[in-house]
Amino acid sequence: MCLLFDLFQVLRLGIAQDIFRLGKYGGLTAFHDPHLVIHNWWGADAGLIAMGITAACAVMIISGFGARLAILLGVLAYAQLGHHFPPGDRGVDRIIRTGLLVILFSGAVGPWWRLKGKTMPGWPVDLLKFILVMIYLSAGLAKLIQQPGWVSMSAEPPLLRILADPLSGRIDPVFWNDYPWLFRMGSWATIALELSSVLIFTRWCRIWACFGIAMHVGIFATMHLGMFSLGMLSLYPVLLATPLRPASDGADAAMKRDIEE
Amino acid sequence: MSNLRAGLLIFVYALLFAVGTPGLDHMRSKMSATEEQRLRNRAGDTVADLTQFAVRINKNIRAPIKRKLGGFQPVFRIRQAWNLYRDGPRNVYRLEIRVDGEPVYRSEHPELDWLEPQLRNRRLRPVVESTVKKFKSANWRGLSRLVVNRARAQWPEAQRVELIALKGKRPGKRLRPQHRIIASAPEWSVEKTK
Repeated sequence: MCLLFDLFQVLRLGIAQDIFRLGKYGGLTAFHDPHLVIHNWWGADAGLIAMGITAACAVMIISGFGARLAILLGVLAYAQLGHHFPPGDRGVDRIIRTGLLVILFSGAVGPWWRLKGKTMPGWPVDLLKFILVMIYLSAGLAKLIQQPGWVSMSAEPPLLRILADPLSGRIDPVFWNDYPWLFRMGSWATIALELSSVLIFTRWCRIWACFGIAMHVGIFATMHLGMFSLGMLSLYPVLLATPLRPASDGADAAMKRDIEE
Repeated sequence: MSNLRAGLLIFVYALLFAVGTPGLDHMRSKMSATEEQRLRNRAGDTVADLTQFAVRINKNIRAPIKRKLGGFQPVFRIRQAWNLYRDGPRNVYRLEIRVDGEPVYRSEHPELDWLEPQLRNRRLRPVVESTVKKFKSANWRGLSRLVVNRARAQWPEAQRVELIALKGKRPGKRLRPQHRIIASAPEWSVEKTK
């Protein structure tokens, strides 16, 4: 759904032809990835065709019909979109493709009414948790190794630089420059959250997930990153599965009681 | 069957860990004697020894595995390298667009918001950033063409369209043009100047 929303935005804003055509056909990008192959098959409209295939596959995945084939074709088409326009293919796109490939080999593929109540192996949840730990831990270590200011008591907070960058953030750099302590605390909290992502493997997973949700909601509110936060949060049900399932079963039982009454 | 699945899963875990080991993505393949000494002076012997050990592991174990087994990644474009905003820019940058000398767009300006939704779109935003921050950016021509074509459609009598990269020290009260992209009638070819 995140992907459909994202592609719909591209269409709605009228930039599909700029983004998904090569420069030689009037598009924006001067270069493409060497792994782009569809332009050899489909010419100038290759990117737009891949966009259509990706969107169609996304609908099939959501509906559950032909989902396995749709995931495989959709991920390949989605990857070609990234090779077509590399600057527009971000970390969240890689995360979504990785998550879809995990689901491809899982038992959680099919119409939702057939999956309800079905018992299936838990390895996809464990693998997705492992991938999330790798993502957050890598992000935290990359921050610390390359910019020790994330934990400094005196340096300019990197979080202020990121959120108050007019090209990607929403907050006013002039006004918020007088409150560095707020962003210093935010920087420490970000590092603490990312480095503590190993808690996902423990019984504190759900508590960690609550802080993760808060961080992504904060990112959504303060930055122009499009579907990044939504894409990350789409993986969070695997972290919250334990409390979500009893809540969902409770809601079902309440609905059945209401219907019987 | 379950043993096969278990074996495959262990392989997948090991592969993902090898191609995306946290902390080693940006490690170089070697550390010179000068760099090592500088690190020892700054952070002590223990940190320097651990860093040197990590560099050797990265070069001799992880890099060959990544080369041999990570070749599947580009097919699905799932390279396991997670930067996710290491840092922000040290200066403040804004893009300003002028049509016939009148500003119509400036980054994060409440009124000058022509083309704001397009320029803010997550797929286009990185191109805007690189065009503003770097004189030699890869896609400045394409971005300029996009802006100029839309300006000419919106203002058919326009004679000149400028994209101005503004830069200033934090907090950004005073910004100065660091380079400009100009397109003028009748040719409407784009040129970049400092």
